[in-house]
Amino acid sequence: MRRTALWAPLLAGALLLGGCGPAKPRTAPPLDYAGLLHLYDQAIDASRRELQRAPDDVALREGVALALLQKAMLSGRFTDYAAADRALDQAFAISDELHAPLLTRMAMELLLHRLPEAEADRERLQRRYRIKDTAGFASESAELDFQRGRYAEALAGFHRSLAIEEGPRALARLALLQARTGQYFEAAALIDRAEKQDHSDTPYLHAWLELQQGQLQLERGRWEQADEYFRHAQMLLPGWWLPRSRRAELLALQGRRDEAQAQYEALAGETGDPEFMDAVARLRREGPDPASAAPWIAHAAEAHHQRLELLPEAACAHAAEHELWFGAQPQQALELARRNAELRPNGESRILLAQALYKAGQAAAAQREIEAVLASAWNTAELHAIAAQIDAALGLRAEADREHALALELNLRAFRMYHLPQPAQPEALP
Amino acid sequence: MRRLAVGAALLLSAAAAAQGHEPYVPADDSVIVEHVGLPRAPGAVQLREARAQSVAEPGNYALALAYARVAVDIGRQEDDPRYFGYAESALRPWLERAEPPPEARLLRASLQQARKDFAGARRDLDALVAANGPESAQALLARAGLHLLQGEPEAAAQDCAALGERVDSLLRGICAANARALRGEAVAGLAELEALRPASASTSLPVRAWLLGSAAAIADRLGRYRAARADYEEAQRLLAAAATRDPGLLAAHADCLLEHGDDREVVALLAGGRRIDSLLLRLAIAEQSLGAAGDTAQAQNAARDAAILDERFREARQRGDRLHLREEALYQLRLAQNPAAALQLARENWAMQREPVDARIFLRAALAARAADAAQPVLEWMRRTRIEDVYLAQPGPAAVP
Repeated sequence: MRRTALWAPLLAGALLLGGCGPAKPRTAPPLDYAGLLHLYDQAIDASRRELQRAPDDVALREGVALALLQKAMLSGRFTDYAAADRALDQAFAISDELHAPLLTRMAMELLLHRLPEAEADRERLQRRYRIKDTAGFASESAELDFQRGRYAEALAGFHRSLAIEEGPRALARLALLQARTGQYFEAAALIDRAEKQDHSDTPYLHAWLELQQGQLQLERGRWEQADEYFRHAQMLLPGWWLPRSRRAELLALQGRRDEAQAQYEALAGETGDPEFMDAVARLRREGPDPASAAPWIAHAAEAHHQRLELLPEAACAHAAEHELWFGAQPQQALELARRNAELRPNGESRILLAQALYKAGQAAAAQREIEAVLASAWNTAELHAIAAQIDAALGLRAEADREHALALELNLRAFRMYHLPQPAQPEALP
Repeated sequence: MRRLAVGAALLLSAAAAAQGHEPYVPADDSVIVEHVGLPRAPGAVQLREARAQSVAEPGNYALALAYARVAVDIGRQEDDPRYFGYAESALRPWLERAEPPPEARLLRASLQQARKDFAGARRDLDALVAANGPESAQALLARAGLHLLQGEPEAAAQDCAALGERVDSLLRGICAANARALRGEAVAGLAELEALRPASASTSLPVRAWLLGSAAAIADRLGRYRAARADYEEAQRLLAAAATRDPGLLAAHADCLLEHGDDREVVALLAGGRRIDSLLLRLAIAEQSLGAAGDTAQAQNAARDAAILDERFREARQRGDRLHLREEALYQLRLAQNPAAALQLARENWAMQREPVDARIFLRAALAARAADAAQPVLEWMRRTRIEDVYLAQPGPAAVP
């Protein structure tokens, strides 16, 4: 749930848990994940009770959708997202054009990777009186540009949003853009700044921002520092699956297979997330009983399939990754990756597409895809590491060496982290 | 470089001891016992880095696998079994398990094939195909290659067909064309490769080189020398541009040139491959031919290289090394002028591997030894497979190899 989960606390924090204002005393005793889920369930119940009093009130229906979305973002469950999506549809069903909660829907569509719909809502919002001048619209609009791969427009949009009203959400989104364009120090400073503006009632946003700091370190290959942030996030919101999954990822990278496998198995059991099942399968294949990975792969495939049925756009990239590493037919991974890149043509999606093209035997097309990302502002160690491996496979020695060096410049452990799934290859020539 | 030099010293002293001589001990570390390996071989830096990482974190499977893969790649480029030993050693903790991880098992199958342990390779590949996991496509492709190597094009064709949608149509097509070309349908196989040629421009270097090498080999067997030569040259050009090489492809290319007396081209082609027995052998044959035509410098080179080969084969026999029976048979046939020994080695080689070149060496050795009946197994194989090969059809004793 890498992509969607990243934004969870931000949107929830901005929408329901309040923004800046006088600092309030923190709730006591400290909240853990189960406690926060319980609070969110109570918020859902409360919003539904309120709606019963005025079933034709669009704002109240939007409130139910937001309460459901808040929970979805915390749990990461696709069924929770689908419930929020349905609730928002119900708000639209009774709303006229003037009062339709377009900004909330645009945010939802961005979370669920439905970019053409988000684009259409943006156009409708632009026609509304004064909406263009709000920080919220500028931020959502910039996020749309970012996911579309229009980085210059996204950068300008986030700055416009922050100029109107500075808040942790736009700061963190700008930080992510900076990180994806190689500006790690700027990204870290922006997250620091966002943390200073967190006055929310729960530790959620703080924990999420700490995770982002850890992610920045992870992407630079600084595993030990990353773990400190992940640990802190885990301490801030005990029991939350997201920091635990990051720490499991680190354990796997460090070759601590048994510990990583135990962590991922617990996470898969608790969340039903197929990405964790995929991780278990990978680790089991390296263990003493490789055949025991098979049921995990089968369960993950089934869960990815269910997610694709439920929220196809949001599930696409994850399903593509599963197919890429475990699928019997490279064409299936390619179809999913292609669809994902068409929906959301940013660097992340196009790198995934390049990997799928390569796995499907289309090395030159993979290289063209990677070249297009290299020509953009996207600048990550993952990009250069994958580019180096594709160039090497094509026999482009100089290009491969250059990309190899660029990857290591950003992340000394890049080649331990970013692997290119290999297609079948001839072993020895006649 | 020092570690390698010391290793070579140990090897030499062991060999000397086996012969009952006093082992040679260098006076100091600055004495170069032998130039082993290419100190700046492509990938040597990468190998050193991968090894350092693997050693620093023992028990880390990903690092061990990465190191093993680099070692195998270099081992293939250099045709040097020591690198295969590095790979096996790095993966030993995982390979010693009753059920090794599939990627390690796949790599072991490659190592076993390189060591001519075809039964071992086959066991691992069968297990991977049966497991039907992510490695099954690679295992099927490798097994198809193993069948071709052992002269079983029918079984190879089945594995190529079983690849189905697991690989792209290009790879499947090259696999099938190679099998078809050994089953009496060489022209059709070559036509299939021609049809695939445009698509190959967009694929990876190994696949492009495989298509070119396959087309060249089939064209050569069909007597289409110019076409074969052009494809071999294109494949070498691609590999050279990527600063890599394939000793098997170089040997096949050299054989093609030698068959047509283009000895000077062989000398140019193999100038950088003297360390590799199979390439030095072809080089020495070309030098010998040039020497016989009056080039005294090449005659001297041929004598020198033949002596080196003689020494290497003798050492290999002392080690119990049976990896180069094909080359040794050819050496006895062409350079040592010992047809009886050549026939014996060709027969032993035929029990392990049955590619067209092995059939050619066997037939020519039998003819040279005036023991045509000895070649019955080859003739039977030719009848069974219906192979089309101009050199097998007219294996004149003077021809090469």
